[in-house]
Amino acid sequence: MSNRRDNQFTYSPHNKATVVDCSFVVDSMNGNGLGIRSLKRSGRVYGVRMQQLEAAPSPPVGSPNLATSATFALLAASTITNTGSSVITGNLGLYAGTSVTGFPPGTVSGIQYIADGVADQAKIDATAAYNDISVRPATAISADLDGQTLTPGVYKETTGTFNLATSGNATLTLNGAGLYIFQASSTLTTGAGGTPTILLTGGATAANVYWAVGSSATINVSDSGVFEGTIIAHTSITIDGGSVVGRLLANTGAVTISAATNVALPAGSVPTPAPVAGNPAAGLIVVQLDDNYNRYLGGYSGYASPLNSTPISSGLIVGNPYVIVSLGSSTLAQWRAAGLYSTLTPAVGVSFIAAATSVAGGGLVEGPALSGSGIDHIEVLGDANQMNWSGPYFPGLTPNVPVAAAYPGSGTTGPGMSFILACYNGGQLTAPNDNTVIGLNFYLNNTAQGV
Amino acid sequence: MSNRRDNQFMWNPHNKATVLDCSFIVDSANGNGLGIRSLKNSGRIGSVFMHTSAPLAGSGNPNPAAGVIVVNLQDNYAHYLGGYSGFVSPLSGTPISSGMTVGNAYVIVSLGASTQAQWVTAGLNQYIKAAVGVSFIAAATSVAGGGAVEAPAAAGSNVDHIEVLGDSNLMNSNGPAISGGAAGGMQFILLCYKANVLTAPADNSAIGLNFYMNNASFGK
Repeated sequence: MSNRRDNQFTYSPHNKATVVDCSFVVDSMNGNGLGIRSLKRSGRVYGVRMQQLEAAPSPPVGSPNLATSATFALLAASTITNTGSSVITGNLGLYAGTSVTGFPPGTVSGIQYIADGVADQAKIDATAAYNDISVRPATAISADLDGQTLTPGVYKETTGTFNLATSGNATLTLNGAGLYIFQASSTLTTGAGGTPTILLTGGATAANVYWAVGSSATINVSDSGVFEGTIIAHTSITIDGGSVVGRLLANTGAVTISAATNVALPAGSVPTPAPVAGNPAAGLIVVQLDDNYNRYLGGYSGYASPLNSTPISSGLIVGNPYVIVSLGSSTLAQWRAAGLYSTLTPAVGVSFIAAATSVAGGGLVEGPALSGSGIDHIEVLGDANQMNWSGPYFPGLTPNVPVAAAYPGSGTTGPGMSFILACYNGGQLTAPNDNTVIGLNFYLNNTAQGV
Repeated sequence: MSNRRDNQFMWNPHNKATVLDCSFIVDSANGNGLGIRSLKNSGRIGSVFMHTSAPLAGSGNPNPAAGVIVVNLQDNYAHYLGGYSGFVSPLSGTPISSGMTVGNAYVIVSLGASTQAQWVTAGLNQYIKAAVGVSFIAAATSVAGGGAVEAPAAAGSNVDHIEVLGDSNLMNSNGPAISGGAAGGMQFILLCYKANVLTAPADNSAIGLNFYMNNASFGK
């Protein structure tokens, strides 16, 4: 129990709450091991940590940027339909449609984003990736992939379609480490006449194989087969069984699984939890206080939106909000002409409502990320009043481990009680987007009286 | 930087937060041109603007996009420690005196000639005086005496949370050196979300906001 009462009065008719505040920026790839940066606190907060990720291996030069769509195993526009006990390893996203059926019996290891801003942004990112890889200069090869062995490169067909195993079992071999891109201007079909297999040899990996399909893809028609790589189809994708190591991304239509299928994100294609002691799971926040308190009276959270990572100096929409990301040579007058509030001095990080469509003088701004923080609320886990007496507690750490070891460089006192909080979106535990600012406060009571 | 410390003490071991509160009602068509009405605040809030379909010259409203809230403070602060929001649901717009569902919530919109006893029979807490705006849980399916009530709008405020845009800590240090008065202070821009999509709150929603600010020159 703390012996610091922070302006509380034991026998006051109204036992004042001690309010402990902090804010921080979510930064899962920060190298500090904490998963956050820029912790601000009014005192009594010893440290905060979230899940720390480590980057996926660097992809080959020229790899498309899937951005937020990289974490989606299934992504579609109109509907997602599953039949059977499919196992989906990764996120599922649908925008702007709302119909996702067949889960269960199918399972999704990640989060289902349905008709929300996260799925919308992922669709935008997948479309951008398609627009990139579908027009790259390519080497023309036979549309019939049966028996071919290819090395890294960009390949296109001349008939509008790529086919594999149209008249019996057949294998396509990709041999060698590097980037593989296939451009089918119309369709991609595998397994129409037998079991199709894509064999990876010589260092080729599913993480570096991409299929840009101009209309729709139909995979494993024979109800079996092994497909490797990420399909980005302009319209729809249908799969009839077997397995996919990759992603099924349908930009304007549906993803339909008509027989039980395993779809898994390729190994090494997305960041993974860093091997840091006590690293919380995605979406969890651990807050370590300096002290213990008698009672937890409530807590509140707020968020600041991250930005969209697209700096612009023109094309602003009057009335929309923007944040300054580069001052350039723009003068105060030029920033105010763009909409900066009259009492503010321009600086990186300052936001304003656009009063013009451009910023003169070279300054750059960004709008908010389409999906904001990506979460809708935060909850305290467990009985926070019980936690008050338990002292330091970190998931995955041996009890009584010195707190300083878990929070290098933070605080000079402590440890006290700890809170574990869970971030939710649509009722699902969800990691907030990087660069979201999270503000937390805890109303605590440190008197011997009260109810 | 504000020269008003609002009960903060520079060298107190715990730097107290300054809490700025306000509430207002979303009113996109109000003739005041602000996009809101009925701004209430405990002090230090200069103005609040939202999107309006009735712009009014001289109102000061930059007429932000739908779903965006602009809050101008009177002062600047050293740190932004977090901010929180709450909502009050708008009503359905359909006054009724019968057809209520027992257990559901209603708000008095017209007293009519209903007596206090009749309101209590309808469900009003016996210790609360009937008045327009008072809410209660229905204990009967009708209100006798001519009084009328409304249920909450089906979708409530139509937003699920509000986020601050940008790095508010940076904004704090960019206002005038002297706080208050005509010079004004820092500005917050907030975004209303529903399912992670920027969304305008329903008209007649009441929105409450508070901002936890730190006005000391030190801290962790």
